[in-house]
Amino acid sequence: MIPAYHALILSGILFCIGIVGVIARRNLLFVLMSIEIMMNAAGLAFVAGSAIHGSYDGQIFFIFILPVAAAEVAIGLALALLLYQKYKTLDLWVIARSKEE
Amino acid sequence: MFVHNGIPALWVIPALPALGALIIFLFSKAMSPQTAGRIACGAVGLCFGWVAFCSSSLLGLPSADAHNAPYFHQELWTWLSAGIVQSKVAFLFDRVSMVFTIIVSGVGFLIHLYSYAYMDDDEGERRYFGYLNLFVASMLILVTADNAFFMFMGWEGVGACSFFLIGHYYSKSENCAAATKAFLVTRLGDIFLILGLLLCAKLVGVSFLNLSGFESVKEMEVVKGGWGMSGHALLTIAALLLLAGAAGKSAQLPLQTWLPDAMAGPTPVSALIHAATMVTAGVYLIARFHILFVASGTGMTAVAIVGAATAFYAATCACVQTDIKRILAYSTISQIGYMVLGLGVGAFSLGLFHFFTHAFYKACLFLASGTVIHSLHHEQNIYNMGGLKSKLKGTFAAFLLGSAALAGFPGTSGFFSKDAILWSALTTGFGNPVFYGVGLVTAFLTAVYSFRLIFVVFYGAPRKDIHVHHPSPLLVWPLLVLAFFAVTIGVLNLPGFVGFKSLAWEHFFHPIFGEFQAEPKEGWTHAHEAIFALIGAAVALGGILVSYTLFGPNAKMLPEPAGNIGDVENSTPKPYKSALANFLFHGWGMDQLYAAVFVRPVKRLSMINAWVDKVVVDGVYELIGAIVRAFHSLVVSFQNGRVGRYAMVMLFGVVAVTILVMSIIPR
Repeated sequence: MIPAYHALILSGILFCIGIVGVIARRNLLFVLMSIEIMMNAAGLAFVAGSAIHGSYDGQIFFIFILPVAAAEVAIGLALALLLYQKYKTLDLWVIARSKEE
Repeated sequence: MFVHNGIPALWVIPALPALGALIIFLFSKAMSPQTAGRIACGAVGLCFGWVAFCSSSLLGLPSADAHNAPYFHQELWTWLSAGIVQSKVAFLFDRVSMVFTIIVSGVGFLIHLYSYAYMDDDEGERRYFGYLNLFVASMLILVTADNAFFMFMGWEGVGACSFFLIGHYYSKSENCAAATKAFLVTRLGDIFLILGLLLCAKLVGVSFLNLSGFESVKEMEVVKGGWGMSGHALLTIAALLLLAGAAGKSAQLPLQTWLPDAMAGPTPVSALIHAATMVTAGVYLIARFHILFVASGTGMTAVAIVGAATAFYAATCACVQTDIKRILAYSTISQIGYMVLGLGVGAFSLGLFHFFTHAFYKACLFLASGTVIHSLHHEQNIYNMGGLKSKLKGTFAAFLLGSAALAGFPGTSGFFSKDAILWSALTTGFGNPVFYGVGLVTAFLTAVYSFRLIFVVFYGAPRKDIHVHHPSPLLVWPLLVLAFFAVTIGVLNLPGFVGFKSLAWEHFFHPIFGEFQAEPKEGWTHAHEAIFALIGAAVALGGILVSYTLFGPNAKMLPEPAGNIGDVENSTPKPYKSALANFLFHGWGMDQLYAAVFVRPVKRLSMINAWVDKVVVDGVYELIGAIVRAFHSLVVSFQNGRVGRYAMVMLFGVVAVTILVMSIIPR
């Protein structure tokens, strides 16, 4: 049996991957995906915590997190579409610089 | 509300013109200039009616005894209550207030009517009438307030209105300079007045009904909290401070320089403010505080000296001026000098009597000169006039009667009031032959310059080809009303030797001034008085005769002008060949003296001050700004719009906080 702490460690690794993705990636789609990864890392941490403490609270939390994540993706993708229409690119650096001008 | 137990409400007196001013200022955009003029005239007319009602009620009261005159006293609310400064909004209407309110509202009403015609084509007519009404309201507060602090509110109000009205034609910078000068010089006097009033408040309070306390202060060896000074010394200081305040407002030496320049305002303003009412506020002040001045003794002498010196000074200046209004301005200074001399020799009721007669004949002269100026298209130099006798008949009649009263022609009001003052200057305990002599010389000069006006302006041939346009009736008949009073009002105080109804004015005021009114010393009889009246009449007639030989139609122009006299302006440095005449023309060079001693050093000091302000004071604040800007440039680079950078900074922050928290929280 895999100890629940391993799930916590996995959650930490996923969160770091996500953060690096948010910071380092220039493409908005990849940034959104990285945010999804971070959200799921947090969800995994909730589930692992509920397993460690022997309570269902964390799992119920994860059920709430899922629709929040879905809603966030919907808004994020809509934003990405609008940005692409306006700037013809999804490169965040290009968009940021063109805003300055 | 308006009449309670048969006593009319006193607050209505200043409230009516104040209401007029309020309406004019609030709705001036919506009303025509004519409407504003009608509202202003109506407000002052109603006010005059109410004053007449108040006066008749006061005169209807039985006089309790010879020492207590009846009066109305009404308290509305407490205005100031701070230590020694105790002031209520309260009105006092006694015989002194009555005389002043009648002049302010009555003569003021005639001048309002005159202004309605005079200001007809002026673009600032609404503003003019608003300030004129506000002036009347302030002046009425000044003369009906029951304590000096409330009076001071009116005192400052008339000063402000005077400033606005002198600067009425503000598009010319010299008019603004004249307004500023009038404001600053009178303000200098006001500073002394405030100090004097505070000292009075400390000693006995400033309520006009309780001033008899000065008598007891006089006896004190050392006044408690009075810097170790005796009561008498403090009273003298207070009296001199009040005298300085009165001198500023009433254009007495050495603060007289503002009044000739104040003629920059419209002529009706000169008639109302700078001849009949505001400039006599100093006379009112001294008359109200007569107990203080008599208790001080030295104060009385100072008042008399200032009055006599000013009367003589201004009369000499008036003899050589070329601007018709400036002649009358110097004459006003001189006549107020007479009033102050009258007060200073203890003849308080006679000082007030001269105020009363002067208000009529000087307002008449100013308005008549206004009609002349108006008919000649704003020509003010008398040497561009001449031969107007047949063209402006009504104006000429008013001018002649006014000048006769000013010159003291026997039988006119000016003769009786001036002669009574001269008689007192010689015979009372405060008087002496020097005052009388100066007064007599001044009377002679007064006759000379007042008939110089008549001869140069109305007789002879026209000196310049100016079309004379016919004045409207409203520009003439107020003059005739004033001229009528200027001639006849003297019957109110016929001299003692006449016997019939004589000294009625003095008897009327006897309960107010009581034992403080100085009477002729032992040994002076009615026979003496008659002789001195004859001397006065002879001097006046002699002055007129001299004036005829010097300035009459056939006379050579005197003093001899340096260039074309018609081009002379008030700033012309040397209009005459004679150095003495030039010296007199510029008011004994006092303007130049003050410019050298006060104005220029202050200007230089202000320049230094401006430099310090620019370099030192501004430097400090600019340094603070520079420091803030430096910090700003340090942090501004973080906010660059790159979301990735923000996230990274946030991550570092979270990690740092987490490490911190973990290291602090014990396991």
